[in-house]
Amino acid sequence: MNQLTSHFFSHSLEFLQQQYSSFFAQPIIQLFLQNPEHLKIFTETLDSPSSHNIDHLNETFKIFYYRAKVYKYMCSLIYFFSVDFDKRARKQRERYRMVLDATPRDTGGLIDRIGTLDVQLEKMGELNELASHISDEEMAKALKKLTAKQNLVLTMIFSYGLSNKEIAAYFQESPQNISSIRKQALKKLRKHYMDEVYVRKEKSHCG
Amino acid sequence: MDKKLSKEELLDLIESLNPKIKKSLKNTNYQDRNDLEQEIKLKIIESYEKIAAIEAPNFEEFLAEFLTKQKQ
Repeated sequence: MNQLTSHFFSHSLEFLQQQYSSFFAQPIIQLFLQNPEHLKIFTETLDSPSSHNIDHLNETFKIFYYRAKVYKYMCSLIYFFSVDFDKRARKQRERYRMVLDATPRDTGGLIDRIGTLDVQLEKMGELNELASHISDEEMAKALKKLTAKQNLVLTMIFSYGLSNKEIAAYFQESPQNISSIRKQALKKLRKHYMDEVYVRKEKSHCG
Repeated sequence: MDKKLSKEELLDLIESLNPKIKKSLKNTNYQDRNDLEQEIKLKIIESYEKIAAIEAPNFEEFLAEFLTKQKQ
């Protein structure tokens, strides 16, 4: 093992990069040598492959590699945990639906309510309108500028957490269309905010 | 120099991974996002032992492994 590596250290960097191009093509090596400090350690070791220099390189690389592994580990952890969390939350919601008006003996109650979702949706706009959640005056003004449909879609998305698909089923339109309505509505809100609020603030700052 | 991650460094790392965490929140509902954020951070801290136990090769070991693989 040591013979192998000591042979490696007896060449110059240019020669190595030609001879072992696939070694230097590895992302971890590329990233390692991108750091000027690491590159300096590496070239120094090639110039004088003393055991002290090699040890130094070994140690630096080990720390670097360890950091990279930890980083990768955490990134995958975050991603997979979030997916898993959502799955669990979904399952929980599916199994334990919140039923407020069923008495324990009322076993037929649940089945009666299936298919009445649309009725609830009809009332959505009035019951839980977005404007009722908002304390910001400008935001309320901006919301009034939206069309009724845009308002309803936003309400469904933000107050009720429905997905594009579910809303599309309600309107009997395509999810893509709902997505674009949502986008347009948010754009309108943002534009109103930018035009009215920020400009005014800027003015008051300058004046 | 201690090569293993100290707990302070882990917290720094979590801080630096904040954008990644925020992005992953989009995998769930609006209502659950704050819960998820907290749980992710908790999970990372809980797995500190595992993270500290990750082994990394040093340069020579890495190189030797590469060279023997290439020979085959």
